[in-house]
Amino acid sequence: MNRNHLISSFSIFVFLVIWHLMSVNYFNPILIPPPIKVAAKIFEMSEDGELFFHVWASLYRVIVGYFWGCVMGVAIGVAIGLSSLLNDYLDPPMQFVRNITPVAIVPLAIHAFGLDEASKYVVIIYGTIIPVILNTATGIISVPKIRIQAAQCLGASRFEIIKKVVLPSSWPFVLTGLRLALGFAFMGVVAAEMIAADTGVGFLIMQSRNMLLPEQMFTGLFMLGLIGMATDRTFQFIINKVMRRYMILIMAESGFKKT
Amino acid sequence: MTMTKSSKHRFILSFLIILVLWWLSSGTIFVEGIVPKPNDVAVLFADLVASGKLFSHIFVSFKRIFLGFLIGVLCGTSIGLLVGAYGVARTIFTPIFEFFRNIPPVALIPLVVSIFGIGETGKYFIIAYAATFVMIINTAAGVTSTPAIRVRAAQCLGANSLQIVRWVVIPSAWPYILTGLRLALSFSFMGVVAAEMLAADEGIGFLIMQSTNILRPEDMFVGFVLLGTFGFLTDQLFKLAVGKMLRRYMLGVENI
Repeated sequence: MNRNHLISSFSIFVFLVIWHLMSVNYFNPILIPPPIKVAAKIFEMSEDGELFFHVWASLYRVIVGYFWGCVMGVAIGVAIGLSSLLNDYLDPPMQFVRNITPVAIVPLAIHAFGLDEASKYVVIIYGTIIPVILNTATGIISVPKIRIQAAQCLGASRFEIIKKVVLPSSWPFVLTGLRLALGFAFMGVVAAEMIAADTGVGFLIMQSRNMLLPEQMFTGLFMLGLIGMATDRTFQFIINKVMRRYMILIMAESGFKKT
Repeated sequence: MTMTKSSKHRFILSFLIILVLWWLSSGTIFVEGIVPKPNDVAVLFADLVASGKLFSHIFVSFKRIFLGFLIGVLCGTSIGLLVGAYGVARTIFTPIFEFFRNIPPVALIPLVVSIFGIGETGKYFIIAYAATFVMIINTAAGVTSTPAIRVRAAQCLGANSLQIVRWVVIPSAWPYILTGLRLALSFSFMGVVAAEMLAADEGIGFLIMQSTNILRPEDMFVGFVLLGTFGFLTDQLFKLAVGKMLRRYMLGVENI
């Protein structure tokens, strides 16, 4: 493990060196600043609190939108999974709508809900709800029949079967959906902030392009990578705890299985 | 898709219900200037078809998707094979793309525009970027989950490492690679829309973004219909194409 850490740090170091050389020799530093300047900018912005302000603005939007998207998505997904009638009616339109990306929804959301927070929540909820619905419904449909039959033989009522057999069996699928949705929520918030906002990481990136502040743009990109990585790691940690009873482990390191 | 007769009826009926709901909500819940009625959208759709503009938008977007997807898949699969096969490559690459895969393609657009300009190269880059990571992850997962016993069997029969990769590892990883391809395709659609919305003068994403500037909401809905339809069709085609390949693994298309 120690050796791996060494190699990892070395590869990050090499990456930074290549970045530095490219920025000094090949690109205009107004487009791509060297890493040291970006680091200085990150410190400067976190010292005066500006960075935290924008990051929190984005995070807050994601938290609110993601929460409601998940609640509604799981509810609709369970309903679709349990009723084949609902599935027949709702699945075909869903198969179309899922191809309309959250980014494409941004102009409509702004038009319909204004420039305020509401339009951002709508974009994030839209990005969250679809993967959650699809995964929850799949999870419920693919509950092994034999488990349901076993419960029926033991005299369980329909409600008991749903509560004690169907829902627990579909957990792994639901969690996969929630994890996917988190990525879409971040994508949505960045797009919405880039097109119309005056706070948030997406705004930071877009504004720095207009004002020719490349260090600030890279600070924004860095924060996106960092937040995404941190939330995904947390998610994997929770999933691994919850999933232990299913004997499924989602490995860290971007989903690779360890050999 | 296998469908019973009643679910086929419901399939058609569900779209009719959506259209009716859309028609009713426009002008009542939503202002017609924001959500236009479906018949107005259909009229504009016919106009765009008649003038040939629609096809040029579709063609431009598809060309971008195709090339970007191709580049992304080639890079992603080769890095994925490397990362999956060699533990050292995994430790070298993981910290870097673990970080980058959390930066959505949309966020890179301003940077890409300032480097490559608003030409086509930047769009290919964005789409390839969107497709690469999911290919890396899936290919690598496929390679690492190759049953060790198959590799050993091939070694016992005297296969060299190139032959093992060609005849054992790649076939074993195939279902994973196909899953990756399907995901990469839908990510390419996302990438092209984002790239065209922020910097382009043609394409489906441009159609959507421009509609807010020229106050013609029908354009936007034509864009939505195109995205939904083409996303759905390419996905179905993909399922059809890979269904045959997956038969030898005794997997259904539902599994990918």
